Amino acid sequence: MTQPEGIPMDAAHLHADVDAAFDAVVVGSGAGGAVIAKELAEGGRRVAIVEEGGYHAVHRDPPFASFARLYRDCGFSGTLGRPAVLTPMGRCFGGTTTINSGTCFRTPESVIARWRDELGLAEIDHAALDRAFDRVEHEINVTVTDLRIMSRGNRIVHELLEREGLHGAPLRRNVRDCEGCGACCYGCTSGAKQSMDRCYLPKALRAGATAYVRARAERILCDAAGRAAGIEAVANGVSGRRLTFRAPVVILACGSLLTPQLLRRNGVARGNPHLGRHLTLHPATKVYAEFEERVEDWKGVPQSYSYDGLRDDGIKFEGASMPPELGAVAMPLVGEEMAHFLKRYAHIASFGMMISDTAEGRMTRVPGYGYVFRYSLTELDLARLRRGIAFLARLYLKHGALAAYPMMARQGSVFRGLDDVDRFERAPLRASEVEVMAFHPLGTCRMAASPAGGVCDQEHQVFGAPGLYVCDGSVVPTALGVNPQVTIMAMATRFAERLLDRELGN
Amino acid sequence: MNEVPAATRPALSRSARRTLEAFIVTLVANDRDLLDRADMKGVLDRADAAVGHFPPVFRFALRAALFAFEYLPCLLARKIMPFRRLPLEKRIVYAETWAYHRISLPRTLFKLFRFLAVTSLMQDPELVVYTGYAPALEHRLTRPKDNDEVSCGQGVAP
Repeated sequence: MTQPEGIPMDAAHLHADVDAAFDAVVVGSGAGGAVIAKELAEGGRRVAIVEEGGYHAVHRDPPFASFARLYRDCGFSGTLGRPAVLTPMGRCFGGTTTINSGTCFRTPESVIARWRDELGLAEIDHAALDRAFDRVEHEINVTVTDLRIMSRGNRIVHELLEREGLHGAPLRRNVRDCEGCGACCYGCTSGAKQSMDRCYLPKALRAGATAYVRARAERILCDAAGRAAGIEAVANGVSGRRLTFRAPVVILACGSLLTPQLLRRNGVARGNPHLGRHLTLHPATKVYAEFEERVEDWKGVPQSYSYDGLRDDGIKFEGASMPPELGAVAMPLVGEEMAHFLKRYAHIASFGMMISDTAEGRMTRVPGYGYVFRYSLTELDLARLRRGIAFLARLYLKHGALAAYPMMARQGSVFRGLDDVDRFERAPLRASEVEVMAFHPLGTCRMAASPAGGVCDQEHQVFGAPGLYVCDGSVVPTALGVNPQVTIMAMATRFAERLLDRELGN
Repeated sequence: MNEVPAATRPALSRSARRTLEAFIVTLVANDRDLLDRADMKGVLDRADAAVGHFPPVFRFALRAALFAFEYLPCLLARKIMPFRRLPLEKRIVYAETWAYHRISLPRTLFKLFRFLAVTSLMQDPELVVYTGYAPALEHRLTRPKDNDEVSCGQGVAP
């Protein structure tokens, strides 16, 4: 049977092992892998895509059920440390772009300048990236969110900021005809979100790429000269078939928490002290607020508005609305306060914040288990989180909220008035008390000018491993302070252009 | 479309289910407004199904943690008084000890219990109606199939 047009093959149903030769093999189908696969395939190269998760054309599960289907480890992947940070990742065709909020930002100029000045990345310049940004934004149809389809929680913050004389802005998102059903993070119900499985991957397949889902890459093949020569994968499920893709170019795009594990398991970059280190997360938390009127924060686009007033302090505010079955999960309340919160959930609004973290996590091997990441907030990160929480709580309480609920795991953490916020700012705060999640792991195979500074060179090639490339969030050298999907896609676009020019001989 | 395989056997033992039930009741301070609406068997079945999808390490950790949560009061009180037999006020105090503990482990495990309890409870059909979330959920669940819903290929690529 041949591959149906525009959709991948399911390795779990293979009748025989696969052994095939390509020009390039890409592991992972998220923001990095999908872009490089499409660009190479449209450039006339034979490309294979290997994805561990499944393929889902439509999404109609209840939100929590979609966790089992679309998320790695049912949404429970994360880091250990103070505090433990839940870091949900996609495990499906399209990767995390299938379950993210769709928020699009270009890389801030200050960040690119820092890469150039502090890390010596002279080749990642504005000219090259601007061209790539334009191309990516056109492909995924980046548009400004219409106020009418924002969630009520986002609009409340917009209105409260205006009352304070402050100004936020609607977020730019990769959607087409979005109706604002509020399910971006559980697989877009209407198919409006232009995640990779909607735009880049179908184009890659139509251009001749071959894709296998439910196949887990296990071994990086090398030739006698030590050059990367392909990938060996194993089908998930009962078939257990082996898939061998031979190619002179091997591109890893498994994401920041998995790519370094695959490299380490294969003994690549052994001795490079940067492999699996420099993990940044953009730790995020949010503040809920209870209002007299019904808010029904699950209606409308959950992340559609942002406020940058504290950007210089490394704090970014973005919408973060959720349905009852998931929104209430994050509240560290017990007893009557929890019951009250659940019963009044229709009256609860919420807004989120994330910080540009100064902490760096690292990969550690746990005997008998595998690799885990350790990450703990620094004092500066903690101060930023505290400041952001206090800002949001004050904003709500000054303008009619009955109570503000920060995600703090300690007794008496509900703010009933501004005095409570003042007390919160004065009281000591331990990192372990803040309930934090993260959605933007970056930096674990960071790009650098030389092996002394990172794992990959400016052409995305792993130092000392010819033919082996990394193209996902793990090459992004530092925290960005903004959602990273467009940065990853733009870097992949630039990488594809250069690879076509150079390695694959345009 | 690839279906998520259903768990073949219960992921939680009867004892673990009883502990989880007592935990849910404690978490909402036995609030009858919530609990009388919810079908507790359905809530526990949903929790069981969710645990069935956890990675094996998490499943094991959750079962062990529920066991510890249930029987630690016996050690502390030096008599046979597991968690579910404690009076509600004591159960709430005990749960708060885990929720706000200085040490990360009990706090993290408590988060896992809470996640399981709240998601399973708030998916209850009656509570979905009670919170007003039903129309939005209905919109998602009853979305007509797109024309492009096609199964993956099942053969070998040329």
